[in-house]
Amino acid sequence: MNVKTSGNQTAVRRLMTEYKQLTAGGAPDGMFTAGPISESDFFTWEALICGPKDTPFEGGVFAAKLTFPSDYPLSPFKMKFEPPLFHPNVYPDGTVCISILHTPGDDPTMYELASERWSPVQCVEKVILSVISMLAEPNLESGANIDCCKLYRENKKEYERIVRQSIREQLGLH
Amino acid sequence: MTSEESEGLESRTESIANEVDETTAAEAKPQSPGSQLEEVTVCTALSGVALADLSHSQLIDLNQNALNDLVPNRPLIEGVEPISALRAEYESGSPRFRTQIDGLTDAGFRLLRRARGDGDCFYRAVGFAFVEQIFGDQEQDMAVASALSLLESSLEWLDAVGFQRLVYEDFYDTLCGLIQNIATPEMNGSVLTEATLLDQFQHPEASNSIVAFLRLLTSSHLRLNEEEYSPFLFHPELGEPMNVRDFCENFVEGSGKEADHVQITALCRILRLNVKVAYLDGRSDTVDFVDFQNDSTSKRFITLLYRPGHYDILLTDDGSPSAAALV
Repeated sequence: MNVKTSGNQTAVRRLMTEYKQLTAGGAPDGMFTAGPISESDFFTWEALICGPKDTPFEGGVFAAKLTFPSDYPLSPFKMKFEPPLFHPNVYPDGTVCISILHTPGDDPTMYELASERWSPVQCVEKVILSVISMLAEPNLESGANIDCCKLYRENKKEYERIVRQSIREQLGLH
Repeated sequence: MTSEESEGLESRTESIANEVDETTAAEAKPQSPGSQLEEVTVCTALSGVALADLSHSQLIDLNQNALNDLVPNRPLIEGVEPISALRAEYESGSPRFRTQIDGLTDAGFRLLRRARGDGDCFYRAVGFAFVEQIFGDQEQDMAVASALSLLESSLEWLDAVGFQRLVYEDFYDTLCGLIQNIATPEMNGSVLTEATLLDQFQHPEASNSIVAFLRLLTSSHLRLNEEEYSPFLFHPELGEPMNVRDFCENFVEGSGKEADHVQITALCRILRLNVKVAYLDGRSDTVDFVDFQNDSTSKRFITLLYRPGHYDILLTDDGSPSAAALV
């Protein structure tokens, strides 16, 4: 696995700094944790995110895999909920679709111009905080899961029921 | 293979060859993402893979690969070549370009250093020229010290606009390390020379780090001087006015975003550089120069050659970037 870490020192240094800062400072309100899955590969992280309060996600803990490119932070990382999450802005395979993980001009779902974009000034912490607010407030203008978007628009109660149900199942409460 | 097929193949090869020629000549102006996606669609359709079967991340990879392919695999920044090589590329094109190039030659600019057309060319060219001009300084140690102190003092602007230290420190260290190394040998005794400077700038990691740092500097300057710049901040395609934050996030901070007048003004001010931009646009018989003068104590200029969507570095006969006396 050393092949990957020796590839780009800038990326490794940056990821180590971010990891150090996250572990030292901790996430705001303890809403999430994130770090490399294994010490031999700094380019694959796991994040555990608590469902925000007063949303159907409350009470759930969601695991996501973060995959960093070798030219991080020039290019953004990818974030994928494993298992996938039922949410308008999460593709059915679990990949998160949010403007902050796309560079300006990379527009899979035609984000608005004012939406926050990826550049080296962003970091893991900022992205995950954006994802947490996205959980609370889906962006229906740039949906990734069409069925979920439709359900959210037409029958929000049923959407919330499905989300709660999936959290209970995840916790082993049927 | 039937003759029809082979004919088809030939004309396809020819058209590819032409495309390559054109890209080389015009230095591949990055196209809009929309057109890249279209191209990907065509490619996959040809190879019989249904685009709909691909996952989102596969699509992104595909798009990224297509994007990489569009930029010819040239060095990020190249060695010096005679400007006649550029003229030769316009041999079958517009005669006005040739006339303009002849005008540059007469003005003393006989050499050219190209930057790759990846949207970062302006920042890369300026970064290179900024370090290179230190070599030309008669008091080199002094020039090193003043460049380093300039960069160090710029950090407070980055802090002032709220960029986290972790965001810029590695990029900053790369640029400062390079400049430091002109005067101070590394552990193994090596110092930076003009030749190794070129190596460093051809190395994507160092080169892109420097570009990223210069982008952050540009952004911080625009953000801190919002009142001055806001009348000039427009969306490059839509032409609509933008606020400074949106402008910086969309058109300054991200890599691969081309620089225009506003970004040029800002970066040259920060680095206190005298820059002349020669506009080679084929619109008239002479080349217009636009001056960005920020250091009245120095007669030296960095000269950039602009062609629509692209910047290279112009040099005089002796390889010196400055041609103040000639223009």
